Parts: sequence; structure tokens; C-alpha cells
Amino acid sequence: MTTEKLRVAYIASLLILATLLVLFAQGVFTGLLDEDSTPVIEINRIDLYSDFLGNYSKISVKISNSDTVDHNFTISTVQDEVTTNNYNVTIRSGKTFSYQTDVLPDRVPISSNETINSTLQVTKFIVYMDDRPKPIEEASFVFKG
Amino acid sequence: MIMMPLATADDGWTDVSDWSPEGGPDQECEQADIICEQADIIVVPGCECNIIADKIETSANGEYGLKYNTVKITNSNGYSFDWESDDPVCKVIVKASTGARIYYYDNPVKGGSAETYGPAISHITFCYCDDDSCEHVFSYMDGDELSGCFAQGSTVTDTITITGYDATTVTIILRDPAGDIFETYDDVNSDKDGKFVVTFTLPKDDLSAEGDWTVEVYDGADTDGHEDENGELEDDDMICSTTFCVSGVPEFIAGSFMALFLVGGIYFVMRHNT
Repeated sequence: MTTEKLRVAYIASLLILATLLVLFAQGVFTGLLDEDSTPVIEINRIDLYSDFLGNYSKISVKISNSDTVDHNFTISTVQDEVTTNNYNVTIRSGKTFSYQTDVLPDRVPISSNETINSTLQVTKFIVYMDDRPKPIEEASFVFKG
Repeated sequence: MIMMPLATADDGWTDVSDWSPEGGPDQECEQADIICEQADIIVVPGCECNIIADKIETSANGEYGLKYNTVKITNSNGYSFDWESDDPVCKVIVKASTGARIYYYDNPVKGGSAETYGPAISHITFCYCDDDSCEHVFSYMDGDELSGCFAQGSTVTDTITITGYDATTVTIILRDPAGDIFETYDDVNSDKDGKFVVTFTLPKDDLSAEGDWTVEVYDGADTDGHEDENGELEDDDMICSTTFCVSGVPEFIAGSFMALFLVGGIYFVMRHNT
């Protein structure tokens, strides 16, 4: 291999190394400078169908505790103004947790505050953190039986 | 400590001279399995792995609401007693002084009689068969079954078959190697074949994700979040649990090799330039 080719290889290697260093530094500083410690919560719904269950929905609640301390969370499921389930979990600092549940529309009661002819069925998912009385995230989903 | 079987009878009990397993009733039942093997007693499949047990610190007559079960003791005189149990029992350990008499049942029973090997009874331990057993089939998204450990970032499907379980919903909890809950699937419905199928995505590029992950299956009929008043998970709701392994961070290793290669290359080039 000629000296010229070796020089090109050397420069290319340096460029690759510099790129890797930049990417590494970017990752480190992004983490260090990320001062937003509020937990990130995503509530999503996917509608599915199976021959056995028919139409049903998969609800997922993803909580990322980006704070420096552990937090307790409660995920409440509310149907027709009645809490049907409370799920409690402690999420350690820096960890992510996912909660999933299947909702079968046939089992969701028709909301009593709707008109008598309505077939509107609503399930609400509410996320509470620690002892705070107000929810930090909530989402309502409408189903048709 | 060596626990020597003293005598063995064909009708389902053996005496042990020195009985002091460390731990609680669960450990007593595990030790009882070992004693049974030493005494050439055939341990019933399904009974040998029992890990749930209750203990009564007396032999007095009465009905005892225990952790896993309710047991009624009658006709006790401190040396013998009759018992009835709500759940099938596969072993009864009658502790007295430094020894114990271990009763075992080929077919788990809900009642019987027992007595001490000699001294007055100090406590009684009941070992239960866990009727529900789970079979897990782990596979990748493309349907390939797991061999070895899952790679990080994989999307994993767990197909669970539970024998002896009639309900149509379960709750499944996935714990990371540190024991923290990573995902919870509440009210998972069985499919037409009675199997429970869940899919989860493993974290990627996470050094702490390497190791054994635990899948716990809970009775789905319980809607209390599976926690007691102290916020602890209720063991008695658990049907079964299993583990699978997740491999380390391949990118980390690949990155190390690349850095080593670059440093070596630079060193080589610089030597040829000087």
C-alpha cells in the first residue's frame, strides 16, 4: 500500500472516530442537560379483532419516570363514573413501565349521562402520581358495542 | 445438618430425628421432598415442586385461616389430631421436640389423621400441591421459538397454557432482572384454544436489561390490582411464574471492537509515516 493510500485511510479513520465521539458526546450531554423531570405518560389505544373475542381494544399506558427519585403511580379505570380497577405501581428513577389491558366493548356499560337511545360506551383511564389529588394524565375512549 | 430418616412405613409417613430446616414452612416442605427421596419414598409428580405451605404453631383444636388455606383441627390431645383442609394437601409435617413425622399422600387429600413420633406436638406444617401449572412458549415476532437468550430490543410473544385453570382472564406481570415491574398486562383474555398470548418489547441498549426476566401469571378474577393494603403483591393470587434470559448489549461490544480497530489502524498508519 502506498503512503498516499495510507494517508487517505488514516484521515478516513479519523473522520469516523470524530463522528463517533460527537455522537457519544451528544448522547451524554442530552442526558445531562435534560432537566425536565416530569414523568412522561402516553396512553394509546389499538383496535383489534379476533374470531374468538370479536372487536376489542388494547389500551396501553406507558410511564417513564425521568425524575431522580422513585414515584408511586395509580392507574384507574373508570366506566360510567365508577372506578372499576385501580392498579398501583412504584416506578424507580429512570425506569419505564407499561400497563396494558384489553377492553371488550360488550362489557363496557352505556354511560348513564347519555340519552336513553345512545349506545355510547366510555372507558376512562386516569393516572395519579404519589399523593397528588389531581390526575397527571387521563384519556377517555369511546366504544361501540 | 444431617436429617436422618428413622423409620419408613408403606402407608405414607416417615420419622426424622433432627428436623430444623432453615426458613419458613415453604423450606420445610422442600426439605420434606428431600427426606422422602432419601427414604425411597416416591414423591408424586406435581407434589415434589410445591412451594406453598402453611404452618400452625400449635396442635390445638380449632379452625385456622392461614395464608393460603383454611385448616380445621379436631380431636387433638397434643400428640395426635384429625385435620380437614379446604385445599388438597400433599404433605403434613408434625414437628415435636427436635424431630418430626412427615406424612405424604400419593393423591393429595383434604383430610386425615396424624400423630407425633413421640414427644408432644409443637407445630404442624401443611404442604399443598399447586394444581395450576403453566406452559410458556416464547417466540419472536416471526414465530421462531426462543433458543438461548432473547436479544435486546426484541419483540417477544409468550403463549401461555394453564392447566387446571378455568377462568378466562389472567394478569401477567413482567419483571426485569432487578425485580422491578417492567410491564403489566391486566385482564388478558384467553383465545379460542384457552391460551393466553401476550407480546412485549424488550428494552434496547440497556446494560441493566441483561439477565433473567420473570413472567408472573396471576388470577385474572382478582380486580384489586393484586396488592394488599401495604401495596405488596399478593402471592396467593399467583398461578405460576417462569423466567427467560436476555442477552447483553451487542452494540456496546461491537463499538468496543470498532474503537480498538481504529486505534490500531491509526497507530499502524502513524508508524509508517514516521
